[in-house]
Amino acid sequence: MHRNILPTITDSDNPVPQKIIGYVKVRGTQSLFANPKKRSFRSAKAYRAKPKDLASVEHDLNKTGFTILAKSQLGFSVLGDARQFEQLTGGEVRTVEKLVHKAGDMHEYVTHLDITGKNQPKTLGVGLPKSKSLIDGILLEKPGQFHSVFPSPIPLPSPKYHLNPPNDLAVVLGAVKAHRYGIFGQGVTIAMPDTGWYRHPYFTANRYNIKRPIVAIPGTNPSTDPFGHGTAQSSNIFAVAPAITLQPIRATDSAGNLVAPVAAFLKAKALAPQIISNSWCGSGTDYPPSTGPDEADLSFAAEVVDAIENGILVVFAAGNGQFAVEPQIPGVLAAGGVYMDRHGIYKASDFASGYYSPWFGGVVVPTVCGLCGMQPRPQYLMLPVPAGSQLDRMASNELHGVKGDRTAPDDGWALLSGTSSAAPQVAGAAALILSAKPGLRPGQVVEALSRTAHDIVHGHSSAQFNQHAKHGFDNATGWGLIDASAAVEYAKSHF
Amino acid sequence: MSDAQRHLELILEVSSDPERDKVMARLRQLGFDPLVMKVGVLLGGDISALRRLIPTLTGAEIESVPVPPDLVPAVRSIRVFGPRSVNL
Repeated sequence: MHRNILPTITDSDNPVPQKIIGYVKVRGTQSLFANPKKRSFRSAKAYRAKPKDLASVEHDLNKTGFTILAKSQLGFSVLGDARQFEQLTGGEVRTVEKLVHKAGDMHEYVTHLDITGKNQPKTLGVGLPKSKSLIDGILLEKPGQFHSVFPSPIPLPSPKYHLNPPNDLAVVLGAVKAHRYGIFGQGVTIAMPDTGWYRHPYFTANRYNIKRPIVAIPGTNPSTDPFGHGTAQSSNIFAVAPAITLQPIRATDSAGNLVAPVAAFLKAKALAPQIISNSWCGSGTDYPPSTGPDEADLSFAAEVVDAIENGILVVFAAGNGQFAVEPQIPGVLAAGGVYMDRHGIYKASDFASGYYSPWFGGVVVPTVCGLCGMQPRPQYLMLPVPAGSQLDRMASNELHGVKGDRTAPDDGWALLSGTSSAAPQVAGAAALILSAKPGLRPGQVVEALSRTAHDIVHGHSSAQFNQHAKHGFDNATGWGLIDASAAVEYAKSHF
Repeated sequence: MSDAQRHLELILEVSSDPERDKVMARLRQLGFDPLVMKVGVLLGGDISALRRLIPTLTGAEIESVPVPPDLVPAVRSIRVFGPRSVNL
């Protein structure tokens, strides 16, 4: 079933390897590459090269820096870098993902190398020499690397009550009506500094637009997400705004620790996207705090305010019970949490932060809310993660006597849902507004989302703050749960 | 991962824009990839690499790091950006 919804070939974020093994076929009396209908394999005689031609090609390959690994009467197995293969063919060596049939009737995307360019054949991994020569054709080795477990592109079932992306989230967050009017977030770029991003088949199956991830720490792999958080949370954006362009920015070290969030934010800002969605913050300060924010926090706050003044909407998660500077920064759209139970009743999430800012006068965290789970364990949204990643394993384990998500620790899906999920949902709704009304200022987008949110009157924020939801604006849920389509309508009629 | 391999983000507050350019050039000379901030310069790297600039750095510093003499007066202060976490 999965094969029917997945393209056979799709983009790859994996880099071209530094060393590539290939095969150089030397021309015999008959070509292997020209006239496919005339190929015959009753004998290899017609494909054997003349000894003097083999010697000539070997000389040329050595001269251009290839290492000859093995040779036969037909050609050479060679080792070289992409530049050498490109010189030989006049094409470009690039990576693509190909859906392949594996043992056990499983299908996986596996990274392949291809040579593309003018006069290059469409067959994957096959190249022709750039000018007429004794070389019949060039083959790039088919991969025995980059293999990974193939996760399902469709959310996996769990007996725990939960919502699935994209449709459940689109319905509950009110995005469907906007979608019916053709507003999907097209033309809007959202940058997302997080733990990394992995091209899960869920994204490929849904044809989402994702730019090649960039990294905050030089040398880290842009195509992996060892923790899994960035991959998972980005699916919340697409559930609301499926036609946005996502620019993931990896802020983690090779082990998946979030160690470079400021650099990642600055890189996001430099790209001048319409929106920066952040599902992270500081922690360690009790509420109410005994001191003000430190100079490092204030330096970062200046960057955030500068981004907003330059027209970038900055969204931060309100926090999962933490008190932190990021969601309090004036002008930030702080995303808190609302829970909808199986009967459709809404209440403030007791997992989410909600408070009046003691640091910045007049600021309440959150501004508005997305969907978020409840204590003791907020496992509410089934989100795609790299198979076997830290989150995949953590979500499946029992924690404080509460069972896990009842999915396997290496199946590529996990039940998660702190305010990390709410922030990208709110960012997605903001993208719908900016898609319908390009050029609005961040404050206008915040106004549209605030004035149209569903008022939440039940429940309270996390225990540290214990702010109760009530009629009208409150310190537990701000203006309430976003209604994406209503916010679009508000923006169209007011601005 | 040893402590020396732990990545830190430091915010260098500079006294003026021209001084910032000099600081950026010096950091690049030392092999860093600094980023411009409104208040100065963001310097990221693992502790062993950062010791090329700040030999006394231990990694145990919580809020601030002494400014090396050769960066005075261009750099007014060096602040440690504390740990952040995702909101699961």
